Parts: sequence; C-alpha cells; structure tokens
Amino acid sequence: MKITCITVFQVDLPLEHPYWLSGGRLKFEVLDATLVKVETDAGITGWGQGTPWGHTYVPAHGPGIRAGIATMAPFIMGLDPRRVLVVERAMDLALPGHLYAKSPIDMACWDIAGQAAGMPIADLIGGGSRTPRPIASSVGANTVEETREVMERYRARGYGAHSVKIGGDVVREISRIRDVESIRREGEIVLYDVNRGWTRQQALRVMSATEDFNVMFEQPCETFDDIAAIAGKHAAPVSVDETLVTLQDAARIARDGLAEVFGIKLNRVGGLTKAARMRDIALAHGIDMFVMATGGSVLADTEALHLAATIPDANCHAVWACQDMLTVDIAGGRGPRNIKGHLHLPEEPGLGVHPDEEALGDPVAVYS
Amino acid sequence: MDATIQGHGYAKAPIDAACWDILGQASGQLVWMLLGGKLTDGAPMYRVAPQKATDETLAEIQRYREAGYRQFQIKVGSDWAADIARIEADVALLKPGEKAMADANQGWRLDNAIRVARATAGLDYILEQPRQTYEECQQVRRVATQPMKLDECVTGMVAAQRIVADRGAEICCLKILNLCGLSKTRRVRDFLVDNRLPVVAEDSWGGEIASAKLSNFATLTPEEYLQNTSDLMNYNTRSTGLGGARAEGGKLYAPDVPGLGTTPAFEGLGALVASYAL
Repeated sequence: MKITCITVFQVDLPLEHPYWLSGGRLKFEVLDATLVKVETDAGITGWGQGTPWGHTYVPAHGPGIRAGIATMAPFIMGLDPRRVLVVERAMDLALPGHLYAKSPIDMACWDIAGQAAGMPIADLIGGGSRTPRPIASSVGANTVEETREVMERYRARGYGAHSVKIGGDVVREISRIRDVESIRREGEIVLYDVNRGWTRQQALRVMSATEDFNVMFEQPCETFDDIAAIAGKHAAPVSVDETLVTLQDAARIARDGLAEVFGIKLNRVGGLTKAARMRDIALAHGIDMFVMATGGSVLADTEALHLAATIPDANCHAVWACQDMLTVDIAGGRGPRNIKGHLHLPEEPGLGVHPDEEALGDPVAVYS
Repeated sequence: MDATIQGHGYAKAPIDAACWDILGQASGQLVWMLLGGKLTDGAPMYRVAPQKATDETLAEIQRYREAGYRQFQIKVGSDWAADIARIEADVALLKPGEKAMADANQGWRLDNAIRVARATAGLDYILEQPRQTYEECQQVRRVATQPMKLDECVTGMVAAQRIVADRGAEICCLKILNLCGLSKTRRVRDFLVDNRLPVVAEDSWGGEIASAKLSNFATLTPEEYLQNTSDLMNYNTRSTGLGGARAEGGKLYAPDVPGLGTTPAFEGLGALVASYAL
C-alpha cells in the first residue's frame, strides 16, 4: 500500500464561548484547524487533524502545520501508511522538531492502518478498554461566580470531571479553589490547571493555602526548573502538561519526580505514535494520565480517546471533548459524542469517524 | 513576536535583524556601535579541509593558509573507521598555531563516537557535536579527551545555562537563526563569555544580508573568546546584497556603514512572495 495523495483543508472552528487561560492572560475565540486527507492506492482513505489552541498557547500555529506538511509531503509520498514507524522516521528526517505539524499525518496513517486491519486504532495498538472515559470540562473563567456558572453548565451536560483554569491573582484564585471545593460533589474529578501562569512564589502561596483540600495542580509554573524548585515545599500532586513535549521530557519528569500525572496532548507531542511511548514511560513509573487533543473537532477527540483506551482504566483520569466547545460540527454528529459526561470508544475500523468533506471547503493544498 | 507565537525563533530572527538595521540607520550608527563597540577587528574564519587524496588536500590547505586561514574543519560523521583515518591524516598536515575541528553533525552512533574519540586520543583537534542530544554528547565527553564544541544543541539561554553549570563544552557555536535572532543570541553570547566559554559566531546560512548581520555580531565578541566565524556570502553563487561584510586575509570585517551595512540586491531576490502593510 502506498500514499498517493495528501489533501489539506483549513477550517475555522469558532468557540461557543470566549475562553481565557492563565487568569485572563490569553483569550481565545476561534481555532484554526488543519484537516488532512491521506489517500492510498488501495482505495483506503485516512483522516488526520491538527488544531493548535490558537497561536499563543504553545509553540504551534495553524499556518505552521500547513507549511510543515508542504515540506514533508514529498518525503512521505509513496510510503506505506500502515508502517507508521517508517512514516514517522521519514518525517523526523525531513523536518526535525515541529512535532505539531507531524501529528495530523501520523493520525491519518493510523486511521488507514486500522481500516486495513479491520480494527479500531486502540485495538490495533494493543487493546482498547471499552470502559467509557470521563470527559473533563474546560472551565475557563475569571471570577468565583463565573466559575460556578461554567461548572454548572458542564454539570448540566453530564460532566463529572473538570479542569478549572486558574493562574491569575493569588488571592482571587485561592477563593475560587475554596468555592469550587465547597460545591464539589462526591466522586467529581477536579484538576486546577494553571497553564504556566504563576511564578514560583505565586504557585507556592496558592498551593500552601489550599493544602487542606488535597487538590491537584496542572503546570503550576513555566518551566521544569520552576516546578522542581517548589516541589519540596508543597504537598499537592502536580500534573505536567505544556512542558511535556518530547520523550526526553517524559523521562526527565519520571526520573526527577517532577510530576505525578502527565497531561498528554496529542498534537503537541507529535501524534499517537510518539504519545504512546510517553504512556509507557508514565505506566512504568506510576504516573497517571489525562489524554487530550490540543484542540479540534470530534476527529481530534477520537484520536485521543483511542490512546486513552489503551491506558488501564485506573490510570486514565479523563479525556476531553473539545467538540463540545465549538459551534460547528464537521462530522455531522458522527463519532464519539458526550454521553452522560463520557466518550465511548468507536467500534468501526480505524479512527472511527470521518468528516463531511463538503463541510471543509476547498482544499488549500494537494500533494500527489 | 514572542507574545504572538511561542518558539519558532527562526521565523523571528529576520524581523529582529531588520529592526536593528532600521535602528542603526535612524540613529546614524553602525549596529556594532549601538551594541557596544568593536572588540574583534577582523574575525578569524575557517575552511573545510577537502576530502581528497593527501597530496591534493595538502595543496588545498596550503592555498587556504596563504590566503590567511588558520582553522580547518574536517567533515566526519558517516563511516567512523574512515573518519579516524581522515582525522589522523588531516591533523598531521597542521602547522603550529593552526586548529582543526572534526564536525560529526550528530552523525555517529554513540558507541562509534566513543571509538573515534578513543582512537584519536593523542591528536589535538576539537570534537564537534558527535551526537544529537546534549546528554549523548556528554556521554561521549566522559571518555573523550579532546575539547568539545557543541552546535545543534545550543538552542538558547536555557541550554547555555546548563552547559555552563555542567561545564559541558569548551566551545559553543551560536547560530543566530537557531537562537531567535541577534537580540537573543547576543544575550547567550554575553552569558557564555561571562563564564569564559569561547563561542563561534555563526548563522545557519545566508547571503550578504545575513553575513552583514553576522559580521556585526562577530566583531562585538571579545577576540579571546571568538573561536571563528564564516563569510557565508562567499559560499553562494547568487548575490542578494550590495556592500556588507568583507572577507580578507582569512578574516571577516564588519561594514562601516550605519545599520547592518548592506542593501538588498533586488534582482537577486526575485519576485515578492508576500507583502504585509499597515
């Protein structure tokens, strides 16, 4: 089997509600999504998606994905997409770094490999759990009242896991955490996601003040050095997200004990192939995981769900459904959707969901 | 730029250079003067030792020598056993005061890099970036007795801080494009020099405009901490700038014209690919 054609689409995905990160530092209203159709001489077509969270969140932007694919396309044309490791190596040789540009190609190859094998991706890569995965909300808000309002909105849709975005003013964030903990329901999962927003002293003050609640913080500071510097001074479990990019990062976190949880975002780390290695590092070191798309439609959510399904149920805290935050649906309601706050692994071969091509507009590039 | 898009320093470097060019022109100052003055008047350059039979190699090195060059790069990194022979042959051709760098460009396998380092232990040359990651280079360094130059893994201030803390290299190659432009490269250089680590003033590649920028950067580096630099514009077959840096006697001189000291040669640039206006 050979890759014969790669078609690239650009789609704007508007967010239903404007979204703030890091205590209001960054605002997002629309996501720039790149959809990639990979065709083969065997008549099997695979789809991939890469959707950075805007262009200010991590070193990734929509035009960068499309430019990266333009550079890599000649080097992967003609390869067998089922041999994902060969495609991975070809991409890494053609363009070092730029992991986020590689993930949509990797995803489309896995989609093809699954279809060719007649199995869902999760089963192809070792066996997918059918236990529905809880979806974490994204509570991007600023005040105590807004936080309650957004959490209630998600609860009404069945969500029992929440990623509450904090990272702003210390006093305000302490009061937001206290308030959320006061309304937290039995069994509800809450992660306080700082998104790198705090300096060391700010992180320490909030983490110490909320110690009684025994809560977990994600990416409290900008760098590994910052996280390491405060590690011995607070009692809270820490999840690492934005600074977990390469397998070397994962190894360092595990070796130096920098975090108890990985937040694996597939687009950032370069796709399913590379993310699966991080999963193994995590499992080998007693580190639990959140697995998510960086952003995107049901396609990106489903890719993350396949990886999440290969993690033992007890070690996979939650996934995400970015689709729930969008006003457009490029897959006409198909694919895994929010059912009582959970996503269910699709049983179709491959990814399990494809977009409506007519919803994507004209291609922005075709390589054949 | 950093608030708009994180990372992607190589996309920011040309904008940064253009801003320095404008600041220099607006103030009627040379860029190197704006940044603190000339510390090296004529930055030493190197040439690549040809991969030919010994007598031909010797003749070519002799020509470079007469042209003023005292540093030679040996390209290695594929066949490690042949690389040992090449290093031995080329180092033997050097005269007192001349230097050789064996640049593997991350090409050796770890065990083979260690074999090369051991087999050439008695030879005086600089071992350059034997492997891809910093950790792998350090693994080679534990058995290598040669001074080590790091290049690809010198990616910014964080990497520089780590190298200084570990004393992880003897020489750091600073490529302006890889280090997000002149403004940030200068900080890394100052930090390394402050810690008495020599640097190579480089860019990933370029024509007259990049070379003018590079020559300004090189001339700002203290002579005793500047290993070498490159006249990139002389490796190209097409000219994209007028004036700019001057290569003479194996040394690179910064232009004495306000700004970066070069103007584009528009016929060499071809048609516009994009234009953004206020």
